[in-house]
Amino acid sequence: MKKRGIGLGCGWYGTGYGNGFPDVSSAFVEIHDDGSATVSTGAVDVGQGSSTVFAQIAAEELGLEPQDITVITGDTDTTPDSGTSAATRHTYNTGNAVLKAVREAKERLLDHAAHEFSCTSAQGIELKEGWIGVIGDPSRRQPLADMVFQARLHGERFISAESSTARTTPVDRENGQGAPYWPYAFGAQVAEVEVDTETGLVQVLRIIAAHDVGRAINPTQVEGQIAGAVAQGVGYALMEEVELHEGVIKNPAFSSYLIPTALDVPNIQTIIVEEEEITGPYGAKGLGEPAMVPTLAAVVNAIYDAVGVRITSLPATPEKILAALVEKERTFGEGGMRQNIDS
Amino acid sequence: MNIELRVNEQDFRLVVEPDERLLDVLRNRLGLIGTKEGCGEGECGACTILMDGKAVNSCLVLAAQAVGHELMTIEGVGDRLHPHPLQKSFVELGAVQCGFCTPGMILSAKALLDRNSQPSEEEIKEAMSGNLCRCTGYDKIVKAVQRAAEEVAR
Amino acid sequence: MDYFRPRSVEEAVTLGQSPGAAFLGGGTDLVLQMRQGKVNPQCLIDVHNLAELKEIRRNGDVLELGSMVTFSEVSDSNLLQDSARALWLAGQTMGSPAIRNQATIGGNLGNGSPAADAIPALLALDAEVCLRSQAGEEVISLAVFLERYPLLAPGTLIWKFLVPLRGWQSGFAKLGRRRALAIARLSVAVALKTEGETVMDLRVAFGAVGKRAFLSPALAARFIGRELDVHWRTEMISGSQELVRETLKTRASAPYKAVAVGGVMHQALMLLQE
Ligand code: FES
Ligand code: FES
Repeated sequence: MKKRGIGLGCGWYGTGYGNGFPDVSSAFVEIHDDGSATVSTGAVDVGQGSSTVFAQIAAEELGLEPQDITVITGDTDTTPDSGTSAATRHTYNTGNAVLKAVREAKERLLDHAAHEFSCTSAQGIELKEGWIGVIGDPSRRQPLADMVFQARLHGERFISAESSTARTTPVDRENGQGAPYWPYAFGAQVAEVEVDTETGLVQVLRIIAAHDVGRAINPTQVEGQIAGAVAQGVGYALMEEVELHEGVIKNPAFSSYLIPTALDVPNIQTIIVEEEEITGPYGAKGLGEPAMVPTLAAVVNAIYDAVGVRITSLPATPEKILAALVEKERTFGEGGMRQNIDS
Repeated sequence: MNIELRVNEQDFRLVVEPDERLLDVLRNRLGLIGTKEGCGEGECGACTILMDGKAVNSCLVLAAQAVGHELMTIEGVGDRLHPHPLQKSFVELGAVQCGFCTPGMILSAKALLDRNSQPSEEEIKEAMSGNLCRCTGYDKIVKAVQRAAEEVAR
Repeated sequence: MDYFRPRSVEEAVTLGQSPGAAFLGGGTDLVLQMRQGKVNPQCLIDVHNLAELKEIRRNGDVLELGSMVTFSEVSDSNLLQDSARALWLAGQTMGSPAIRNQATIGGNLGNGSPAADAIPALLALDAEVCLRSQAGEEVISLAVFLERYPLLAPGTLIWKFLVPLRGWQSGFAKLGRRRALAIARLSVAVALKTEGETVMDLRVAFGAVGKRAFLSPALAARFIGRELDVHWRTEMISGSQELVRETLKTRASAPYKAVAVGGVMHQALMLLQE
């Protein structure tokens, strides 16, 4: 018999290296005389889209399009160290470093422009749609490329180097106090599953995932990160398990370590919650790992809702579920199997 | 042994070992490195190519077995200037993250669309079920195939 | 190593005499095993494209299936859907689309895996295997053939399968760890003939329970001559559970499989054609 159930999972997650470990990202920025800019950073885009985020940040700051920004990453000959692509840290930490560096180069540019436009302060200058000019006076503006080109002939360069460090402290071992992570990410997910009571097989039918990302710099990528994490969470909940024997992995292959296929991953509905993180670039914070956390609880709770058994070790394999169902039947008799006594 | 392979509408004369896998010949002898090796055991689909229009795992086929068949790798599907609707939709919808599964995904999807231009969501998932993706959760991949199907139909 | 692509079955069988010769079908098992060093043939005889081995056809009241028929061809065949449904169902659940495009039913038998998807279906359908070797032809019931150790003498080619068409209904179901790319942890194939509501004849086969797929005439005998009703089904489910429990005894997988086989049997019965 197939039974359906719904479960909720909530999660919070400290992003970054944490515990006072030096969590530093760096970036170099140069604004060029063709109206483009280059961002160099050690941060490696492994598919999560960090390079796109950096281009967006630089473009936003400089009044350009993301295509106008060249992002150079992960080259130890040319790019400054930004730590690993791990710990859900690049959008927040490296994003902050990029933003600081862009602002620094921009400040020089604005100072130069203020002088050129005979303004007393750089505050009256704006960068917009590839132009640089005096706010509120359309007659006093010129293409950014022209301004940088002329400046260049006069020996001006708009370059910068900046770093950003996430501030955390180790936890006091005596009293558990401290600020081990910053920022924290929050999320909640609902899973609907179908459990086959004869075989213990679980099919996840649907997941709705709501995640606080501070600010979604790139909503498409946020959705992609959530869906990817949910798929990993489904695998983690139902089938993925590293089998160790005396320190040796017994299943180091795709034939023995199984991950979900397209048919095993449910429809995923994402809800992006934007609750500004004031220390993040444009209010953004990371999302990579946190989106996987609630999936586990949601799926396991949904199994409980469906058939009334609590699976307390992962993955929730058909063996464990069937054994729990048999046990439950033994304890509560036939009826225990049929009706969900706990809900 | 001497063999002739027809890949992406081009003929190649090659000297290969009888037990050399098609995957290795494509990558190492023909330089068609768009085809990836993820597992080498038929479990991931990263090495998917088309043989007479059908998806096969090139890690499980010997180059010698491919003689006399029409092969297509990702390089033959389209390029930067002339992307196939699938390549376009994958990029536009964000169906590519690390990109390792992408060539295989596109070829499995192409094999599907070539015989069924209006597949249902279930048919798409079924057709891609031999292609593992660790990054995307398949969500945007399925949507990209749907979008490409619409575009091809137009 | 040598590689040959014979043009006929005769030529293939002659080449099969060479020392260290192995017949190569789709390659989905053999190519991998060669790479893993599990087998080291000195000579590969590629029969995958031999037209004679690729036929699916009806010959009177017998269905002839060449050994190099791929799983895709099985699952795309309307003829099989109507007349050998268990095999048709097995063809759909095996591996992935790309594997099914290459892998063949003959290879599935020759590889000798306990989890081979096609074998329980062919057993339930009462298939015969036709073998070819230098000694000539041999036609043998699949159930008897599966008792041979080793399965195939050197130089023996699995030529085709003969499936009798007796108007039986059949079904197949398997249990995997996921919904695609799943090796059968358990599979069940059922074929039966009814008259009115009465089961006149029945064959039940199991895969991935023990070393090789097998038929259980003893289980089937208890259900012949009875009405195919809800009791029949319920008892068949518990009967298959007992059988698997007895077969697996103390094996680690026994407690799970002995229960889960009930669900797989249930599904196989539900998939019997109308
Ligand atoms: S490399 Fe061929 S299927 Fe993974
Ligand atoms: S995009 Fe990374 S595996 Fe699919």
